[in-house]
Amino acid sequence: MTNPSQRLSPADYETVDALAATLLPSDDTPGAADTPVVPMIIGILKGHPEQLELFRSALARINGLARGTYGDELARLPPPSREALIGSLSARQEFHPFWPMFRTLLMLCFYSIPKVCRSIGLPGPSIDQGGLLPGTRGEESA
Amino acid sequence: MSSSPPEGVYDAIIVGMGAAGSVFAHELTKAGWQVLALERGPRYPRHLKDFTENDMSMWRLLWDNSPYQVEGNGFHRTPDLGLGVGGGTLSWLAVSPRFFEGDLRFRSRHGRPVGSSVEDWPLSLAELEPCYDEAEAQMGVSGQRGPWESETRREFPNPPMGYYKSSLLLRDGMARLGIRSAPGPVAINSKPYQGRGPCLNCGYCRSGCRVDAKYQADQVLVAPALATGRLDLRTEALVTRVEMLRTGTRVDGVTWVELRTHREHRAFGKVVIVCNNPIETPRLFLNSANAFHPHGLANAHDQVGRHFFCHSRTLGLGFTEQELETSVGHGMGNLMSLDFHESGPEQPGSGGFSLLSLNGTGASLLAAEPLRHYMGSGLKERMKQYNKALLLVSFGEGLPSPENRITVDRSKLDSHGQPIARVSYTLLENDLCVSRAAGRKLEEVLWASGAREVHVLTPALEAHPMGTMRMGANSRLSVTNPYGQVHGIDNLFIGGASLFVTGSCVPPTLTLHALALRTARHLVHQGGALLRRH
Ligand SMILES: Cc1cc2nc3c(=O)[nH]c(=O)nc-3n(C[C@H](O)[C@H](O)[C@H](O)COP(=O)(O)OP(=O)(O)OC[C@H]3O[C@@H](n4cnc5c(N)ncnc54)[C@H](O)[C@@H]3O)c2cc1C
Ligand code: SF4
Repeated sequence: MTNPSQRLSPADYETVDALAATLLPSDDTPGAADTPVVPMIIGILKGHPEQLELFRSALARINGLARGTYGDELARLPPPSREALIGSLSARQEFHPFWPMFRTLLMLCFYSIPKVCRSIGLPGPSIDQGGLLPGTRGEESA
Repeated sequence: MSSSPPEGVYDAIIVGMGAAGSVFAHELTKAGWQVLALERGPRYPRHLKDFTENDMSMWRLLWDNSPYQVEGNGFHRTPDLGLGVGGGTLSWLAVSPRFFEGDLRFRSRHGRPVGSSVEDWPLSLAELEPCYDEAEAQMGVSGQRGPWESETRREFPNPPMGYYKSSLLLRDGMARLGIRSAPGPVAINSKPYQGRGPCLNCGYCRSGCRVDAKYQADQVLVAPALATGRLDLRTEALVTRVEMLRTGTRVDGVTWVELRTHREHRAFGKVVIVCNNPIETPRLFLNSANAFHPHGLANAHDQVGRHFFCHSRTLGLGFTEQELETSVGHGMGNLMSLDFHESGPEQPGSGGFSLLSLNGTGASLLAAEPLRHYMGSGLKERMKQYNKALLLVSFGEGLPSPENRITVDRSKLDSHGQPIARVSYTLLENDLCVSRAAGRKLEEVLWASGAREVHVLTPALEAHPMGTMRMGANSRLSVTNPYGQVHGIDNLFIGGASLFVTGSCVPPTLTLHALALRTARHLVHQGGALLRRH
C-alpha cells in the first residue's frame, strides 16, 4: 500500500491544478485544464518520493503565501491575484528548486500531448506515412 | 552459438553499452574475443515498433541525474546521457564534428586560466585522424568540409543534408555579420547508407529514430556483435563493483545485480572496460575500494573523479513573420558555424563556442527554457508561433578544475547499498566569459536573420559531462594513459568522455567513438599478451 504521506492531498492537487491552469490557460487552443497534464506530472512524481516531498512542502508554502498576501488559498483567488502571486514565484529563492522543476515538467508534459502539439502546428507522427519530405525543405540545398 | 566462455572467464567484460561500450563490443567480438556486456537499461531491438514519435518517449532513453547530490552553481541535472543498449545514441541529435588540433593543445596555447587544471591531451590530432575517419564511416556522417577544416580532411561518407528554410535565413543572417557557416556534420543519412534509409524529417530524433536514419549504436554496432555469437549481452544488469581479488595490479571481474530479480552475480574477465559515463565511472571506481586500493580503485593520487567539466549550452529563439516549418526536420546542426571555436576579439576568454541551428519538435524545450519568464496568454501566443521561430544553440567550452569533481556520499546509499555520487561543479570565470560571449553572438545572429523578437536563455545550462578519469602521461595528474588504460592496473580500461582532458566547443560523441576505436585496436594488437597473462 502507498504510504499516505507519499501522496498529494486533494488540496495539493487543487493547487497544482490552479498553477497549471494559470500558466497555461484555455483560449482558442487547449489549456492545461483541457488535458491530462496534471495527472501526468503526478504520475512522474510517484516514482520519486524525494521530489514528491519537495512538491508537498512547496505547495503548502505557496498556499501560506496566498493566505498571507491575499487572504485565501491559491485555487480560490481571483485570476489577477493568482497571476500576480504565481508571477512572483520564480524570483523567490524559497521556491527553488521547486519552481523551475515544476514549470519545466509542466511544459515538457503539456507540449507533448498530441492535441496540444497539433494546436501549435507540430506535425505529429509521420513516419508511418512516409515522413515529411515534400515541401518541408528550403528550395536550395547546401 | 554459445556466447559464454568455456572456462567461465570472458576475454573482456564491458560495463555500459552506450556510445563507447558498443564500439568495444563490435571491435573485440570481430577480433574473436569472447565478451560479456553488462548494461543497466533495456534493449530496444525493433526501433520501428519500440520507439514512438512523441517528445515524452525520450525520457525512458535518458540517464536519470535526479538522485545525485549537487554542490555549486554549474550542474542543473540536465539529462545528456543515455540508458539502455546504445546509450545516449538512442536520443542524441547526432551532430558529429571533429575536435581541432588546438583543442588538444589547450595548455600550450592558452596557459592555465584561473582555477582550471587544463593540460594538453597526451595524443595529437594526427594520431586520432584514422580513427575519426573510421568512426565517421561507421556512423555514416553526412556533411561537407567546413571553412574551418583542413583541406586534406577526408570526404564525408555521405553528402550534406539539404538546408531547411530556417537554416537559409540563419545562413544569410550570419553572412550579413561576416560569419561563415556550413551544413553541420550529422550522423544522419542524407541518402541510404549501409542498409539504413535516409532521414524522413519527422522531427523526433530525441525519442529514437524509428527508421535508423540516425546512427544508433545498438543497431549499427551491437546487432552485428551479437551476430558473431561471441557477445553475451545482459540487460537490466547493474554493475556495482569492479573486483580485484589477487593482486593490486590486475582486476579479476565485476559484481553485478540482475535488476529484474535483484540477484547478485560475479563475472570474471581477463580485461575489464568501464564505459558507464563520466559520473558513474568514477562512482564505480570509488565504490570499488579494496584492500589494495583503500581510497578507491586507482585513486592513490586522488585523481579519480576530478577535473570534471561540461559545455555551457545557451539556447536562442527568434520569432520571424515567416512560416518556416521549424518543427520539421532532424534536430540539430542543419547549419553550423565554428568561426568562434577559438578565443578572439569577440570572445576574450580562453576556448570558444559553436553555433548550431535547431529544428524538429522540441517545442516543450522552448516553453521550458528561453520562454521561461512567460506565462498565461503571453506564453501561449508565443508558442503558437513555433513554426515561425528561428532556433539556435551554442556550446561553450567549459574547463576542467580539480575542485569540480565527482565524489561519493557514503551516507546516502542507492537501493543496492552503493553510495550515490555527489557532483561538485562551480563554473569558472572563464566558463562564464565564454557563455556570455556566446549569448551575445546568438542574439546578434537572430536579429540579423530577420527575427522581430529574440530570447536568449541565460544563464546557460550544462551539456555533455566530460573529464573525471582523464588521460595523461603522468600518473599523479591523470587516471589513464593515452589508450585509456588505467595507470598501474594493466587490464583495466576506460571508454567515453570521462577520458577527455579538455572538451572543445563541439559535441563529444564522435571523438569518444574515435578514442574507443583507438583503444580497441590497441587491445586487439597488444592484448594477446594481456589475455595470456591471466
Ligand atoms: C537529447 C540528447 C542529444 C544529444 N545530442 C548529441 C549530439 O548531437 N552530438 C553529440 O556528440 N552528443 C550528443 N549527446 C550526448 C551523447 O549522447 C553522449 O555524449 C554519449 O552518449 C556518451 O557516450 P557514453 O558511452 O560515454 O555514455 P552513454 O552513451 O550514456 O552510455 C553509458 C551506458 O552505461 C550504462 N550504465 C551506467 N552505469 C552502469 C552500471 N553501473 N552498470 C551497467 N551499465 C551502466 C547506461 O545505462 C548507458 O547505457 C546527446 C545526448 C542527449 C541525451
Ligand atoms: S528527423 Fe530523421 S533522423 Fe531524426 S528521427 Fe526523424 S527520420 Fe530519424
